[in-house]
Amino acid sequence: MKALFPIFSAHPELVYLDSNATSQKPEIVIEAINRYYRTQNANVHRGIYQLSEDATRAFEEARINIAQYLNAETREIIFTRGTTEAVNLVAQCGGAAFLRPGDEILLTVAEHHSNIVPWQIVAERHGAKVKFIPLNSDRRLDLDAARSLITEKTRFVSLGHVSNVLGVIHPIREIIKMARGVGALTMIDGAQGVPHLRVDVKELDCDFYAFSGHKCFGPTGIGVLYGKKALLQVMPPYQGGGDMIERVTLEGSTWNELPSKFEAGTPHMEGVIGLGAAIEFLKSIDLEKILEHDQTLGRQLVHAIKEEFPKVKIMVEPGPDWVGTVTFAHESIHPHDLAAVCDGEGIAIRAGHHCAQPLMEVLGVTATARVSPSLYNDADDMNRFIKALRKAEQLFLG
Amino acid sequence: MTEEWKALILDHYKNPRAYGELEDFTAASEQHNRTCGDHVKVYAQQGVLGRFGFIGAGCSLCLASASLMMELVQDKTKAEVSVIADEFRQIWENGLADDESRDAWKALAGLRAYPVRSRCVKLAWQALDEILLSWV
Repeated sequence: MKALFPIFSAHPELVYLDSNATSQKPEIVIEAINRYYRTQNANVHRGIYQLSEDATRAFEEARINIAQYLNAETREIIFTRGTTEAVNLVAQCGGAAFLRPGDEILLTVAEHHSNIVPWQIVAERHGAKVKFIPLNSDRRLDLDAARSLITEKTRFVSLGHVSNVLGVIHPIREIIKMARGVGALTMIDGAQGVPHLRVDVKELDCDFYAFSGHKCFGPTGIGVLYGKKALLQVMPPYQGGGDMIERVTLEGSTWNELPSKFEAGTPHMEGVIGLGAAIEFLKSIDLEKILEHDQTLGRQLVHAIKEEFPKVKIMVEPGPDWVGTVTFAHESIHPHDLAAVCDGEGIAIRAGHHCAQPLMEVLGVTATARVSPSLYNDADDMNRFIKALRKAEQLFLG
Repeated sequence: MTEEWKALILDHYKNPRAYGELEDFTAASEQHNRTCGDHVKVYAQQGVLGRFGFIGAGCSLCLASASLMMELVQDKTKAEVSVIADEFRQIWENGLADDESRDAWKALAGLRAYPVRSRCVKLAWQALDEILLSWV
């Protein structure tokens, strides 16, 4: 797999274990962006000339491609800057349309800041209350607590498909069902879902689903919001500008139809085309096999830690509901120092709070180190990381 | 960063100088880096000459920086400490002067190689700035 990713030709010794932060890009994505600028660049939806029509076709084909991949309607696919913007859009526009004083917004303690802060902001604006589903002692979502927290007062339930810190796949089907039972709307933050799992929004029956291009082998600065059209139609626009209007007069304006209503301004054209290529890449691989591969690598590391590193505390036990992410804390070595030693060995890992401070509090740590394997990693990469861990212990404990 | 300075940083991390709460301190300042949980508290007895101590928890860069700072400011006058605080800012932003010969400054300047961790390195120095403000 490494051969498909040019970064490993530029850095043959690189061991990249930070894919939950951002994935590396395959040749076909880089090539699609390159080809766009070399042969297709013109503003979309505007120019009455061949080049603009070609660019518009490539742009809209990417949307069709993504819609089919998610089993959505084309007009239900809104392009955003990423998952963060998609959550903000749903919180703000969905909040304006559906939130009433006294309503509750239910999240989980394991959320990324980007699925907490936008809701805190709109809750304050609309007099709503934010509540959180806790974790069990095994760091899986507490479904009993969820059952009692999801009530007639619940207006939105928003949670990650997969935890960026723990790598645990949340039982979103059960949660969506519970939410549907009380008439609450559901939003799934799929930033860590789409890179690992096949997503069918109809089958999930969620109201909104968002993901980022850069975490699923596509470019940065582009993401997708799927929303049920009946909901998107009654929500007010997110931003004003070109493309999103039907008619503008000095007295007021009317909104364009979906999806343009939520896409003000010249869009991120090469981003959309690059993301289309990333979806082609995802279609070309066997995601179930890749998930098994990532889990095997994660297990290899967990096993080595348990055998050899008693001072290392793993934050979650592997299981079938897990994408192979290994997050841990060392009793005596700060995660920054550990990451710096790894860097000296050509190994990229993440250290810090992973934009999930509330979860760090639940885990009883201020920061952790995280190894997140992907399809371009192999057993040798994990062995090199284990060697670096040994070196860090020699350096700091020796 | 050369091995020589790495060793000095590691030595200050493992054996921090002037570590501990100062008795009879006249000023103290605690600084946090919320992204990684690092925190440093610097104590000072602001006399004709300043006495300093610090406590904290953090990564090697954070604690070594605090320890090196202790070496530089211990038993100095307010005016001298102010110059040192300015020197740190100058070196952190622009690098070392060609003729610099003091080991502590050379080691601290070496940490500029890790811009992501600049907040860790600066934590103790921010505490020092605050202490200077109340030193009459």
